[in-house]
Amino acid sequence: MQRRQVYLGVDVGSVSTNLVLIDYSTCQVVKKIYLRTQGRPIEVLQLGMEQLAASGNWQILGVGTTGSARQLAGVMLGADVVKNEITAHAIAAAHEEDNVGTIIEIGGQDSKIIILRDMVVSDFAMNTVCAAGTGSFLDQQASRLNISIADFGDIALQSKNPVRIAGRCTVFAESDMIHKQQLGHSLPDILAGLCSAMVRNYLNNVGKGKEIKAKVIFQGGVAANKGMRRALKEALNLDIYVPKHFDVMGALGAALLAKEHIDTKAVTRFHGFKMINSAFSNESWECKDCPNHCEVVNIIRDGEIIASWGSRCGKYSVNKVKTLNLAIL
Amino acid sequence: MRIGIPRALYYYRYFPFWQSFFEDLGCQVVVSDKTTRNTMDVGVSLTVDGLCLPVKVYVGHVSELIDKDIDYLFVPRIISTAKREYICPKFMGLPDIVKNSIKNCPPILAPVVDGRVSSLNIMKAYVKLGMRFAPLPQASFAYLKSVKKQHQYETAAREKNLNNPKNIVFDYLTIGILGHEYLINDDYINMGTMRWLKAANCRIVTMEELTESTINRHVGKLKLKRMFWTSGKRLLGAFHHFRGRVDGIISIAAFSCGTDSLTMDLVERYSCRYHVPHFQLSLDEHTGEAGVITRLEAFLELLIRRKKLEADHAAYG
Repeated sequence: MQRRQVYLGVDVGSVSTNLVLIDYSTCQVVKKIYLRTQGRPIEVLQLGMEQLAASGNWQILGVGTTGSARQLAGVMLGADVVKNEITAHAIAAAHEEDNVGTIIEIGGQDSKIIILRDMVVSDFAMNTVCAAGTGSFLDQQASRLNISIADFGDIALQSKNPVRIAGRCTVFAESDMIHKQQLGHSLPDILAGLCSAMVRNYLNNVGKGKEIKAKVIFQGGVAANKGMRRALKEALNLDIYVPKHFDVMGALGAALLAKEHIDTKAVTRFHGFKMINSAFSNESWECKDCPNHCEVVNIIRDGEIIASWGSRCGKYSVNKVKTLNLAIL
Repeated sequence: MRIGIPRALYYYRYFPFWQSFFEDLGCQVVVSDKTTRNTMDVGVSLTVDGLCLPVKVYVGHVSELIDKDIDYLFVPRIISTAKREYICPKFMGLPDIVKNSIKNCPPILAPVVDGRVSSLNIMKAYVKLGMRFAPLPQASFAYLKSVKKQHQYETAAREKNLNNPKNIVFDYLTIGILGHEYLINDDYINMGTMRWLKAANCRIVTMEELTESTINRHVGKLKLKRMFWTSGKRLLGAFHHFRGRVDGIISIAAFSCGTDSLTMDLVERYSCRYHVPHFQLSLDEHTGEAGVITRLEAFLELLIRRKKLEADHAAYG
């Protein structure tokens, strides 16, 4: 059987780990895998690669990684491109949709807004240290109310009269929700109210001072939630477009970046699928050589340290992962 | 006599002056080491919650200095460094903050630096301080000589000025940095931002490279109420000097900085008006380095793609 030529994009986020394969010429998504990271990025990435290897006969021409564990995924796989999430999301949205004006991305732990003008990023913002108003809060509330996160949106859509819930801080939002529920408001009304509170919070914090122009793209895991889509549409008074692969846009962007990189340069540094069988582990320790007491992390493959980071002075860096490639200028 | 000077806040602006002044009076200047995690932890634990991060770090430095066997601690009470201008009110209270945060504090030398009415008052304050260690003529002479030293230092810092054509390399990104000296020069507080930008081959320009008259000229053109904070004025002046000359501007501000909360908002509005790529970094004690790097990376990426696009357009235009 002919091996299919593809590019691999990997997005290892705090909540989900996504792998996407795109065709080498058409750039269409040929395979996508969405897994929960569950705090174990190394194992989940190996599991994802295993599923990928089992799903077909692939020849991987290039690999791109993104997400908060992009460095880790980069050394494990031998990535050609290691890029930040903002760029990856912007590239993917611009590839999937025409005339994008604004990208709203709400993920598990972070949320961002990216403003594009003439299909080039002109401004962006990301939530600060606080993860209020992101997917993990919706997750928590769904499990507290004992409903599946998959049903959340449909239930919220049944609401006729959404209640008002404080949205500034999720701790306040939760107590407000409990209060409203004890007063006897219906579940759909409370969920719809929660969606509008989250959207309000997002627009006031992340979207502060940004000019949100059509066409608005809504992506990230939370875009699956129909209640959130409706709340966003009502708050902005603009049509909201959810791309087909909204849940894996970061990985798709990484794959597109890998293609862009390989097209101009050399061959891939991909280690191959053999990494599925390698034993990966990590260890961290506190360096006491200076008063900074940096927490140094070693990534070990089959007993050999393949990467190390975390020290401010950089003296333990075995494999200095190049974080930025300015050569494209 | 051993005089202790904390390596924080206006150390990063006036150290050449202070060093020359005390050494001319026959004193030995002892400076605390560079900021480390320990400095920050100690500073945060000794101070009240409402203070900004740089002041907390300052107190951490004072605490480390005490172990260095010093006779006096130099904590000037800086109120104003230029006519009809003020600096941040926390600097005014610095000697009191130190006194109340630190037990067994050595005697503090706290000249009242107030040039709001006339710069002569600043001279008077320093000469009076100098007379604790030497007679009047020597103290006056030390002051004048140190002013000259400071001037030489500032001129040297400007040598790499933005306008100097031989320093301009078109292949690289030029980034204008807006922020207080004590944030951009302290590698621990700014979480290695400057180090990271240099490693990414960016050319960095800061407001230290601009003359007072350049800043005043730019600020004078603004249709605003007069900016009476010296630091705010410098930031706004530098912003208007940078725009059109750099590829992008990064503002670095401490999360709870009072003066920056106003000036940085103005900078943000001007960036929108003049379409200058601008990015603000908020620093606080618990922000992880990873989050900062992600944002910086994305910002540089934006600038690179923009520059590439402009180059392509120019080729066809």
